[in-house]
Amino acid sequence: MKRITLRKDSYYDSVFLMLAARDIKSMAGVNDAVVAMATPMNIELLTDMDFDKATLDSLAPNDLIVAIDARDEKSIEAATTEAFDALTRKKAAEPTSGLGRAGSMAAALKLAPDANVAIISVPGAYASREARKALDAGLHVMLFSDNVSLDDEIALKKSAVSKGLLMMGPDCGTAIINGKPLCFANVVKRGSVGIVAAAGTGLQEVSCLIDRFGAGVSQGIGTGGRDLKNAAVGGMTSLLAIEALAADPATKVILVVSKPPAPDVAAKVIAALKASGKPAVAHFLGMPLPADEKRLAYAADLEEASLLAALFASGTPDALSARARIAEDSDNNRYSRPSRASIQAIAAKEAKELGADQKFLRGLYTGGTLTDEALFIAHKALGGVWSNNQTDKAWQMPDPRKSTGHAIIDLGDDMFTDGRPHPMIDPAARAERIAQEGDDPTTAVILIDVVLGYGSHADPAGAAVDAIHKARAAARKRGGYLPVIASMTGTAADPQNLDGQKAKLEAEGVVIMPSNYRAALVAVEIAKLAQGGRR
Amino acid sequence: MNPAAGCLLPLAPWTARIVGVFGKAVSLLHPDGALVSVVSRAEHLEARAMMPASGWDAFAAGMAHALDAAARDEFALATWDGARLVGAHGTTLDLAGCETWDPRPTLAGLASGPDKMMWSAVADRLMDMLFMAHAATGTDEGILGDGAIARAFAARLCSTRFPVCIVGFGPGTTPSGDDWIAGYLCAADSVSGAPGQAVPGFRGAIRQALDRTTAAGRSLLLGAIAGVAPAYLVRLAEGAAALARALGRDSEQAASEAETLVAAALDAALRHGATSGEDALLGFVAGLREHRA
Repeated sequence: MKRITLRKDSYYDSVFLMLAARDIKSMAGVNDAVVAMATPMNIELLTDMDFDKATLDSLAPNDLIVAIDARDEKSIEAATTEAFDALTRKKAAEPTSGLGRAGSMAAALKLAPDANVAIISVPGAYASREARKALDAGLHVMLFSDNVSLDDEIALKKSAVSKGLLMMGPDCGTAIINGKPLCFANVVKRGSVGIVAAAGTGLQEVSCLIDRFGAGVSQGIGTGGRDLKNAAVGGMTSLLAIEALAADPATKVILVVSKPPAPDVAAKVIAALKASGKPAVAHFLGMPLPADEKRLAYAADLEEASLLAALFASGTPDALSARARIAEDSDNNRYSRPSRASIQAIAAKEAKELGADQKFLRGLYTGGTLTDEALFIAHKALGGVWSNNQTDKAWQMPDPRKSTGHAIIDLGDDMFTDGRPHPMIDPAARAERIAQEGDDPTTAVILIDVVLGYGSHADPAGAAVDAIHKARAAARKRGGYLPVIASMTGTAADPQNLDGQKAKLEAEGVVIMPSNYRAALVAVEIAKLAQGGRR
Repeated sequence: MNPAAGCLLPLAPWTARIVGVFGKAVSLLHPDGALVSVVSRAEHLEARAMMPASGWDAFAAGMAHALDAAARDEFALATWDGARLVGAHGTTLDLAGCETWDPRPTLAGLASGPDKMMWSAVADRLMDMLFMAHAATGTDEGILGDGAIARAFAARLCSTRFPVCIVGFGPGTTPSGDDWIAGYLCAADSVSGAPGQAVPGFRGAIRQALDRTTAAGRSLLLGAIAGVAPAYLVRLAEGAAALARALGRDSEQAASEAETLVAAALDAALRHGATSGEDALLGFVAGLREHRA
């Protein structure tokens, strides 16, 4: 069915109109959509497309037409509502609602003179310049852009530190500042745990787990991936962030999450945590664990880091007491952390009907830190896992587009996102890869992350279920069975409806584990069973 | 940088309605029904645009506030006295001493030098580059490609009602057909050396149909009819002429340098609007092919 809706005397940017048409066309049930000005030739075009001519009478060329051809009434209503919501939001974003549009940093600062953070997402070549302008204007910076040179990062961070400003990034996708989620971030309870994380999904995972463990987040400061890893950057943002959290009255516990820092940077971070005077947790993925200190606990994984931080926040006085409380929960029920026995039972059940050819684990991830955590666990346990994120050169995938053996792939890596949206925004690329792995008769288990929250796709579970269904059907047809293990990073307050997302995946037989760590353990157990020939 | 005003800017004084504040331009609806633009950079100049030497950002911010503050039944207005543009709430843009921007002498000079047969080779080269760019990042919502609008446009090019039937046709605040016409006339003017005079019948038909398009389209077409193409098309025409000359001299180095100019001009054109640059390029190629002999 077809419907035309009109907006009189309208002046919109052409790019916006094109994007609006594209968005409407991509909605479920919409066959076609035209967003165009009501010129006589466009009216003739729409009449030729069998839209109702009577509706188009008495229009003037500066009137806007939204013409939708959809499968049914419900689809047309939804598409029409979305079209005009988008136009209203656009008008609201342009002048009307206090959200202004500006053509430059200077103009933006005039519109928002009280701003104290600039979020910058422009191509890397221009990002440094814009970040410098923001710092010179006295703003903290969240630099979402990547492809910023190391020299630029160092210069920006030196400048920021000299001014007492946070230079978060580059390649910083997540932050939570005074309770406000910025860019890719989840809606979590406000509380007393201050987090410093390299970027992205590491911060998202720990903030959601802290929320689940009953605590809350005061601040989540992203630093960018090189901040701790690169000795020349030297942890400048991390150290300033720890200092800021030490002084923040809302922060009672500090949690630092990163890949292993450069050795002397690690020492500085540890010293800063101790100097903060607050209980702290450090998780450096892949680094051998030092012994805990009285009020500084070293965590082996993101889940443990979150739980230790939550326990500190709840008043547990020291690391020893926190470990004791965790150990007391021997059935792992209090914190919903499935025990080793329970994981083995889940794996045994899922592996029971594997076909003889099914041997390998295939991890298909949208989040970089979650990829790294799963890779670290699986590489050790399975004797070698290929990845595009591998630090072990011997196991770097020659062609990440094609899996061989055990493989865990970060689909958010630049090679997959050149000219395409990130898979957290548009899960289509991951769905295609699920189908590809499902067609491979040697795939024994698929492991995925599902990341909710602001910035993520509106329905990541829904976007995956078709591909999962087909992959599992293909395995059945070959006489086998394909387990799919998932973790879901999100909270009940996130826009995507956490329970609904879980229900969609579980309806397809996906096993959802309460953390990426537990999901990786299950997938590894299944792969071990597949390799060992025991079902 | 000196302030500049397009040679077809309506004579002062006038008062216009502020209808849009966009990333690159503030749009004013003149009482004659066509837009006047206040642009931030020379590359966005056109027949009815003005460009200050400085202060565009603050002016745009002020105009945005004025639009925001305008009541439902009232309009935010701006007044031009020939030297200053004064918006609601007193936001002022100083253009005293502005230079007149008129690309017609430049376009007229492009015809001498190139062998007219080389224009055809240039047209083919441009088309290749356009197709490659479209394949990489283009949309199916415009007049290039396989979409419904592209097919309808192709039919209109062959229609007995051409060119009137493409005035106001297609998506965009400046409809695609208008951009095509601007490209076509720019090419015709470049090859003929007589901006505003080539294809008089075509121009006359467009002039009669100006009420069949949007205010933005009307502004563009008023310029195109007069031989005043927008700056980005002039840049493209210069590159095309350089390439035609180089191909005629049979010099690889000259051709390579000219190709670089053309590629840069094409890139800049494709960033113009949603599909405006692409649509105008299609028209430009059509104009080159028709008028090469």
